Amino acid sequence: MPRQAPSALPLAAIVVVVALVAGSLSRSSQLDVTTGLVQMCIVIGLYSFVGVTGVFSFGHIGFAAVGAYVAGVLAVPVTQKELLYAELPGWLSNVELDPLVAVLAGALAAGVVAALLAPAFGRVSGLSAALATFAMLVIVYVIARNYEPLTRGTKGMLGVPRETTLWVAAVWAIVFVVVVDLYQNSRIGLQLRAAREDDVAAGAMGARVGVLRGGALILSGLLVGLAGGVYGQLLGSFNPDVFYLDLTFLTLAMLVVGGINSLTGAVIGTLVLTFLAQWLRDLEGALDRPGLTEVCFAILMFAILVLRPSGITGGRELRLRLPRRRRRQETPPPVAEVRPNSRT
Amino acid sequence: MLEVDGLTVAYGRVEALREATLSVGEGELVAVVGPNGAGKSTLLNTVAGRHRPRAGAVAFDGRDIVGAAPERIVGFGLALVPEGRHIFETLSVAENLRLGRMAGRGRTSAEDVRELVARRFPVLERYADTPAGRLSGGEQQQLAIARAMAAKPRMLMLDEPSLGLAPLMVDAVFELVVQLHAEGTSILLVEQNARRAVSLADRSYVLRSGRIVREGRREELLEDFEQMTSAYMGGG
Amino acid sequence: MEDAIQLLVDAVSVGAQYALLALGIALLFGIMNLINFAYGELLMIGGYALVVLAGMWAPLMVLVSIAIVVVAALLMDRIAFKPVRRADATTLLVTSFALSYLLQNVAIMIFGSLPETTGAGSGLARSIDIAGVVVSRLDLVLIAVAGALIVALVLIVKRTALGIQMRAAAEDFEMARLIGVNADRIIAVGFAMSGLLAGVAGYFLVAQTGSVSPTFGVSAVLIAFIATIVGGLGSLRGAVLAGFALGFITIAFQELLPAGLVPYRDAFVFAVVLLTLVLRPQGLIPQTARAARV
Ligand SMILES: Nc1ncnc2c1ncn2[C@@H]1O[C@H](COP(=O)(O)OP(=O)(O)O)[C@@H](O)[C@H]1O
Ligand SMILES: [Mg+2]
Repeated sequence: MPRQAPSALPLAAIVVVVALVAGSLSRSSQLDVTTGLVQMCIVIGLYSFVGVTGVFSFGHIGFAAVGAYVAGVLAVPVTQKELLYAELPGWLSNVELDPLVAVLAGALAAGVVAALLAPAFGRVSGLSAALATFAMLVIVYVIARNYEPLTRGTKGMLGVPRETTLWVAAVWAIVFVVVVDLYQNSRIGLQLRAAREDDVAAGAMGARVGVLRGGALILSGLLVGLAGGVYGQLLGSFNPDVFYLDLTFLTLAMLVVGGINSLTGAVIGTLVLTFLAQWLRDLEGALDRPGLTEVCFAILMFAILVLRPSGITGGRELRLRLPRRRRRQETPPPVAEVRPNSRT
Repeated sequence: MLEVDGLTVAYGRVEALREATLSVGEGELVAVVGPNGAGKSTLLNTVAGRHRPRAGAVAFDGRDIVGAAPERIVGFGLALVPEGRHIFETLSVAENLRLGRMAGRGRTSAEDVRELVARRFPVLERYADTPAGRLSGGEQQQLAIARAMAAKPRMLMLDEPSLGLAPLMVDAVFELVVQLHAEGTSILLVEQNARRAVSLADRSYVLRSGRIVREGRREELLEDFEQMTSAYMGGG
Repeated sequence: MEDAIQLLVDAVSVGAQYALLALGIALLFGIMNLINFAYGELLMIGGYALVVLAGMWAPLMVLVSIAIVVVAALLMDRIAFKPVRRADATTLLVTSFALSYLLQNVAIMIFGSLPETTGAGSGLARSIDIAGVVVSRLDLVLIAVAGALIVALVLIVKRTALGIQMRAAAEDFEMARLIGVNADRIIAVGFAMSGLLAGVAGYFLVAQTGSVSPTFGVSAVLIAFIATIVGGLGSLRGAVLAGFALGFITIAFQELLPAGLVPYRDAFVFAVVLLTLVLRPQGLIPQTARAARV
């Protein structure tokens, strides 16, 4: 795969435009866009594993949960801890970190969880990996529900400082775009994508693929954990169900609709579904049919899977045309396909 | 009996078969030979309904079969023994044969199959309840052919039946082909083992890089061999 | 002693329920590499069918609800999975995840997100006393029905022409078609059987819990996943054995784990799943020689 012109610039520009436009909207619309931008961070983090390695994951929302809870509990003011988190271990009940530092600590915690799992992804891929990530999601969920001293279980976290404004979210989205674009065009990123496209390439790399995939999991765990912390500081209060199947579905739908194999897909997919949701929620309210939005998303995701598996972007990146230096021709996909016999 | 006309098949942008035209008559044994990658398997698989051609026609018994599902085509009496045998390893030998018989939609009885095995595939007789995966390569190839024959097909397509077999087994398999032919089954045989296949077949086609470059009767092609062996022997 | 027997009946009954659930998943995985998340929604459909049919003569109601689930399973095949049959296993998994989510939300649109209560199965609620051991009728019926269904299924798969075709399709789908196995039909049969199992399992689940909600099937499908994975995906025998094993483990954890850890039971179970997937991925999921699907 040839080294490519960065797509971070145009994508960051899109984020800035979205934020500027949202800044002039009503408070509630601003909040929706802010949520969309935080979700974009999660989707980009998910892309940095799924898109780059080609290994599917249902579990990354588990990293977001770890990030959100750790960042949350570290940032809750000490005064509130006495009241809300009476059973917290002593040393934690006296800690009150700066919200940004807390988010970074949350990311680190998620990264550690990812590191525990990383060796596993050197061994398994495909279906087993997808199912293993799902098992991980359930484990995190069960712990979050039951480890009440820290998480308050189903009563939910309270008192998390609400630090995530529209521009905080926008800046994080830009950081994510830049980091993941650098990463996917780095030597390691290119190797992983080559292995994704082509089993022969993967075979030639041998055990190295596993090591690199484990690394990719850790990086994506850090990113999604960070995004989870930012999300927690947007919500202020949340319970384990916030980080379970609904959000897993939503982020997967965003990635699939946009195009699972490109960073641009992650960005576009998030924006498309965020704006669709605005419109659908109104309709849903007018018709008094809760669930309508989710039904439409699921149908859209299904339609994409059937009609255009590579998503809206078709796996391509948005990039600035570099003047003068001619772009090298992109290699055609190595695996050609047989036209299926459609009458099956 | 089988008429293939201007068949073009592509994998993505790569054309593996280009305007191939050939025919097999009633009771005829026809060979298609050519080097590795020439498009022989593509030809057979497309005729059997596994790929949809980009262009061209395939008629079996005058019936257009392009686009028909593989299970329908085998129901018409046109059976393929694919490259690499593909017997069902977890099923017993008897179950493999029973599956084959079901494809015949009542053309053969269990008794017919037992008799066929006793006459043409005696090695399989003692293995009825053995999982097919335990058979040797040659036995598996025989089972693959027996499984196809259990449906009493009107025409049999064999994709490199000698591939990967010990020399003695290769002889046995070719011997089997000759016998089935002698009993009236039309056969389309694909082989890399060109000289051997050509000398068995009534007529042969030579395929190179997806095109049919030569067609002829046994004597004509064998004569060719003497003169320009390199065309299809060295070329692969 | 009585306690031990009661526990044993509990474990067998839970295990039988899990085995039914697991079989429904394993069956389709064997044939078409599909891990069907939406299997849980088949249970849910059965549950709501019982709610809607309330008032009907009970045995008829159960049969009709099961028939509805079988039809739903067949429709699932035609509408949702047929278009993606050629896709790889992961895409199928994602598709079924989307379908599961879709059906849950359709249920929310129709019935709302709160549980609906139903008296279906209340006829089985009474306990009976056998020589001093008190067992619930529901448990006994469940064990008998599940046992009969499992035996019937095993016989079909092992002995009949249909069963041979199913096993052939499970081993090498392309080759099965070349030897005349009708792809559409064999997959439809798989879905119908899976629907039958879901219909029966769904009924027992409703009888146990007395209510249905849009997410009714989620935890059941998770259990089915575990059993199919641990039992070796696609292996029917493995699914049944793992289902029973899981039933025993569940009851054992309940009895043996320190009280403080009981809430984490599921976390432990899923940790076992994760380890299984990681340590014995090839042994448990034979992804190797399986040919492309239809
Ligand atoms: N599934 C496939 N995808 C892409 N290309 C293929 C595929 N199968 C065969 N080909 C290509 O088509 C050409 C013909 O292959 P094949 O029909 O198998 O030849 P033969 O059987 O004569 O060895 C080869 O160049 C091969 O690489
Ligand atoms: Mg070949």
